[in-house]
Amino acid sequence: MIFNRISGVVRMVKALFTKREGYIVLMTILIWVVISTINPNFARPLYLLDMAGYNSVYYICALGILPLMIMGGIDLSVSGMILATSMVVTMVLSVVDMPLQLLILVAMCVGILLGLLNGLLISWLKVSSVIVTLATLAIYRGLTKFWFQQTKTLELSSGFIHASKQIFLGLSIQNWMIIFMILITFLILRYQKIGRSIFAYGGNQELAERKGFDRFKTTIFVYSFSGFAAGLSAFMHILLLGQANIEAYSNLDFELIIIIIIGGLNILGGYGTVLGTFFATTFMVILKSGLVFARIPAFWHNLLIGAIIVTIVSYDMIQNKLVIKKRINQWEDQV
Amino acid sequence: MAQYEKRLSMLLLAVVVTGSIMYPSQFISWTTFKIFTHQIPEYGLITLALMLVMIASGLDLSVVATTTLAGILGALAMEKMEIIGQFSVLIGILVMLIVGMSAGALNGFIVSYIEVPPILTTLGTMLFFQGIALIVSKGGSVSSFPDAFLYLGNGSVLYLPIPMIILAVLAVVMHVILTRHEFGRQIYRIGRNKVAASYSGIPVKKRLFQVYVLSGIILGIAAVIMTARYNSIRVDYGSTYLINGIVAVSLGGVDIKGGKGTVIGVFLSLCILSALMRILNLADVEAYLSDSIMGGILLVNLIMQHFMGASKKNKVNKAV
Repeated sequence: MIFNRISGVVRMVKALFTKREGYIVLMTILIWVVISTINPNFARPLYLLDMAGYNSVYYICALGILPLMIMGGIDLSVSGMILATSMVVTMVLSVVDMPLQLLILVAMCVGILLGLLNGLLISWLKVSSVIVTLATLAIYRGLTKFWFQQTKTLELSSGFIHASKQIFLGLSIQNWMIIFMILITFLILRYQKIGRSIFAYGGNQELAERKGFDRFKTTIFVYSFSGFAAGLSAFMHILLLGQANIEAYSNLDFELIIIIIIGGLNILGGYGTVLGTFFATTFMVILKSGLVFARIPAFWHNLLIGAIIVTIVSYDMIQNKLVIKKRINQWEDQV
Repeated sequence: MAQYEKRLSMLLLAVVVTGSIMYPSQFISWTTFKIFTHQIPEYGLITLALMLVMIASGLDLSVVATTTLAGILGALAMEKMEIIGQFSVLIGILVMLIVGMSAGALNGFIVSYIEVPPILTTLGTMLFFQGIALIVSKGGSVSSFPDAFLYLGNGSVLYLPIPMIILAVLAVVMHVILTRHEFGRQIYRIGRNKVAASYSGIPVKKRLFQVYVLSGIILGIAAVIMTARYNSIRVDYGSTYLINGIVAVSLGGVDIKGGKGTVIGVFLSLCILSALMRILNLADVEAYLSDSIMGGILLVNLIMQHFMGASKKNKVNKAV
């Protein structure tokens, strides 16, 4: 009985290492152990939860663009959508007073609408998602900044902030939202028909079409989902700061793509997991605070992040090529 | 001239006429001409570099980062070599060109030989180059250069500013290469269909690498002009040129899928955008809003192209 259980655990660990996202899980644990030995405070679970809460925008958005990137698209307008949504939400709040639950709905709806626009444009025009989302990023960001030029930040009432600091079952609202997002993304990707369709289109577009998956519906869904995540994280952003800041998250879009890639996404499409994304986000969050802890000047951050992305992606491609070569060799041997 | 370029020149005419009706005394003036000749060169060079890569079905998000990195490293070299006098200018220019070239070579190597998708490659190298530039310059600006260097950015021959002359010469050279030369034809074929190109005997990887190196050299020249014109260089200079460059390239008829686009089209779209910017400037439109307008133009252009393409397809179907 006990032996069975042990062998089960061993099998699970083995499976983890043979998967693409195995190494990021390892790296995350490693970096956590290293920083914890330097600074014991870091090892406290409460601190980790706090850190996740403060960086909930990263978690939510990364999970939000995961389906889209599995399908082979890219969304550069996430930061623009967050900006626009948080501004709209604070504006609504300054006109009519409403409870938290209603406000979160408003934020989600605004986000979904903005994402829907991206999805419609991409599926109608059949152009690269990079170009379309770059255009919508410029539009969202420019319009929001223009609108709110006089009021750089919009403050919220203190009662609102107090409501946001409630703790439920030991976890803050931010932590609950991350859990909610993980669950919803996992369920959609694993058990819904639309999730299967996303993987199918990421793997092979022609085959997916012949199988009868609806391309229009899938594209629309995927970009709306990213908008939904942006709306949700705009709400988190407001709750965290107690205000909406128009200068926030200027580099977010690129960082999100990096997170997804180091989370084990196949850059040729068709593979990506919630687990990998979650650990990659944690890795980035720890690394970022770790860089500060280790007194590496902020000037170095860009260089390091850029070097990491290029190395990992190149490694990935070389590995892919080797696998293909191996298979061809095996096939030739058999023949 | 192709159909699309005719349409672009009509659009240019429409924009100019609108501008001169709205602001008769200010739009058609010496000042506008001066602003044009000052604004277009570096913008144009960056756009040309982008165009070259996009014809070969690539994309380069690191154009602006490459330009500022080359500018900063060249400027620092010039500062260090100040003792040897005017000769340091030559060294500075050389450093800028070499840095641009090697940045292009890095991009080209990763994209063509390792076969990483260009978007991801150039996204990474963009951050990487920005990082190097930040570390080297410590976030500050490098400024005050010898007069001979400044002459490159601000001097003029026969009322024509030197940057404009450099741009014109480069544009003509590129036009000739792309239309008359075997190299250009091969690039178009690679952009249209990589597999078919490689089966017809074109060394696809080598050509792609060369395209990125060539665009890197153009960016090095852009760095020279940019640094000389402002008499200083900093990491965040020209940060709007990326989105503006993509808008110009897309409006100029270059397809992101590759294989399409001409120097004439891109040049016309540059003129249209500059004229539009001048009108917005005269109308006192906020800088933030003009960013949005750029994005809007890009979208409208994509939608227009889509419908034009759709109507053409219908015609073909009917004919069949």
